[in-house]
Amino acid sequence: MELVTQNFQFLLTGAYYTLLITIVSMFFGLLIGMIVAIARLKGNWFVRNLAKGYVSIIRGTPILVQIFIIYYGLPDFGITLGPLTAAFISLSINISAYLSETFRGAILSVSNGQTEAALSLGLTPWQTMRRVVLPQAARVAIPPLGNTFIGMLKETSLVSVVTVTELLRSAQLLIAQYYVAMPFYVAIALMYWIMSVFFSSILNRMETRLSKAY
Amino acid sequence: MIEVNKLGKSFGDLVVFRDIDLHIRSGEIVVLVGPSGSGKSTLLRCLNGLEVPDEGSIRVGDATWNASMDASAKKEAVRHIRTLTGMVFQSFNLFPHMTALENVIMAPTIVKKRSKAQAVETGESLLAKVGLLNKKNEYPSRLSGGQQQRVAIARALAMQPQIMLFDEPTSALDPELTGEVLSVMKQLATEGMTMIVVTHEMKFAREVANRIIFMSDGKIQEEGSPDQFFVQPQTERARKFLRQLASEPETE
Repeated sequence: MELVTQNFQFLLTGAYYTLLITIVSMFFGLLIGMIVAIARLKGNWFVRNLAKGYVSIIRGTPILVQIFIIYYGLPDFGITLGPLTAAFISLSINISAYLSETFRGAILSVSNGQTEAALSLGLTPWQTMRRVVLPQAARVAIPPLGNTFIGMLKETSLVSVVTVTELLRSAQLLIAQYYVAMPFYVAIALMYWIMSVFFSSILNRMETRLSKAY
Repeated sequence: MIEVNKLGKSFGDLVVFRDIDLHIRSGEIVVLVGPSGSGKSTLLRCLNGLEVPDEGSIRVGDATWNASMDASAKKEAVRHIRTLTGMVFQSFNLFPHMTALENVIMAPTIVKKRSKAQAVETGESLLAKVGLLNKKNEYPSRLSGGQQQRVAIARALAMQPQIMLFDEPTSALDPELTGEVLSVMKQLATEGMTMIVVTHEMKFAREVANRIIFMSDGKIQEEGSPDQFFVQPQTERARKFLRQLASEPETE
């Protein structure tokens, strides 16, 4: 226990990287996921199938393989990325495939009558999407989004394999130094748990806010 | 005001209607009646660009749509037509994430770029007109069906359309709520609004319409004044349709 308090600063730095990776990947994942979802719903034959293929490949391969391809594979093509950049890119891509499915389902859950009403008032298809469909879809998407988000928080531990010193790797480094495992693992488990409770509460609050009209 | 020529629409192999000609003058109130599946709703939706006809042409005010135009010209025509027509749906389709007032002011602020204050002023006067100013801050889920439909009418009016299209506006309502919607529509009619109404409310058709158009099997079977149509229908189909209605209790 004393070892943990002595090295708490070091673990906190690890937690900071875990948070950073989660938030950055989630941000770009949301962005890419939204684009992919809209491409699948509104694109022409080619765009639709391209998006479909993207989702299929990303969801059908292990995240660890994706991380290795980006960090160890890309240098063969002359693209060398730092561990942190590789982590951002691989996790953003991975999460976007899952989020695009969440968004697609949520957008489809908004009745067609809503789109028709907006179009009949003279809104363009894009304005209809932004003002009418997406706000309603967001409410439907929040609960599954929360699952993905918290899953993401924990999956960041996988990037420890490409030497990003996030929470798990911080603990492993300390364990290698002191030859004691249990206290460090328990400490980081607690820290992961606290972070996920924190995110859950934020998402709950968002859900309540978006549901006030219903 | 509206001129439809040789309009045709099919869904795959199913012909919804064919060779429809229709002329509607400014200020006229036309009620479209007919058995379900006769194509009246689809025809109305074509007049607002929600369905795309396969052939023929539509002129609304100074906007013209023609089946032989290229895609971008069609898009432009539909956009123009939509600014001239207001649509009221059977299922209201209010935006559930916005209050009654927000529903009414959204399109004017986004499409017509009105200032918020100006849109609110118009919006409040329209809500007052449909008798719902006291509900302006309520969300649709807190309103009855009749109230929702009245807000939907105010929302369509907020774009200052020259023509109002009503697609079975009272069919989703409980009988005791249809009256409040119909009376708002009657008020609009007395103010000289051009209206095309698809409805099964024959009493309304009889009282308010200038002209009844009877559609069946994808064709306009006959048209005439309400007195003509209800008292002396010309075709056997119309007589059969009216007999069937008479055998059911009137919903009002």
